[in-house]
Amino acid sequence: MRIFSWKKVVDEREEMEMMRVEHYMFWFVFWALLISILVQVLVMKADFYQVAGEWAVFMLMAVGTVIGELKGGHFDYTSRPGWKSYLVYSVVAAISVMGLTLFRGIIGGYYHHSSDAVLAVVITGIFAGVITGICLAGAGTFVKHRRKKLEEEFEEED
Amino acid sequence: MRNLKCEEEWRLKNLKLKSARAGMDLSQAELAELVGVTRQTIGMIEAGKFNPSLRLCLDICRALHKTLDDIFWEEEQDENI
Repeated sequence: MRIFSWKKVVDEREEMEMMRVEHYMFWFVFWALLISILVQVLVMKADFYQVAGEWAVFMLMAVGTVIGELKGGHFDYTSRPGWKSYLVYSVVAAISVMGLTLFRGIIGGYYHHSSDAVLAVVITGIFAGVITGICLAGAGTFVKHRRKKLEEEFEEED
Repeated sequence: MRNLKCEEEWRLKNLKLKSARAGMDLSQAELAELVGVTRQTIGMIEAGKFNPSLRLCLDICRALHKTLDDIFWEEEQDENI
């Protein structure tokens, strides 16, 4: 008598509901992990090696998700690949990084003059925005290419 | 407003499936067994709470000796409500 089998015993509705729960929990853990890393690094002033394990798990989740989505030709739930979405997300990334840089600088007492803060915040913000834009443009171009390839693969034969 | 919601819920229910199943004298559990899903899944399809895949729709139709039109087709006016 077999005690355990890998054969799926759930029907499509059960599987869909389970995947929905797992989807929500994945994204909850993803953002919770990011917040946890940021709090430890920015507020508690932890060294990198103290958060290295969490960072490795976070990067695994992020990189794995990106590879999987790109392979399937998926870009985003609410936007299509194009300069408008690249611009919006780049600006969001730039503002987020500027906020974090300012916070980190104030907490760490790095800024002796307000010009120091402005310079650091603006430079890191621009850098983050440009890097995000380049990455998104690369991903968007790949997604378009991948979609075209998938369309050709399943094109009806005359 | 409340009446409209009740009417909408009533229309979303798959009464055709329920009546075809009853016509063959099958319980939800028996139909579920025939198509290889849980009783809850059949109950939720009948209640309009779950949209089955085409594969499952075909399995249900075969089990009830009906066509897809008989069980799952909805008139356009019903879909738009």
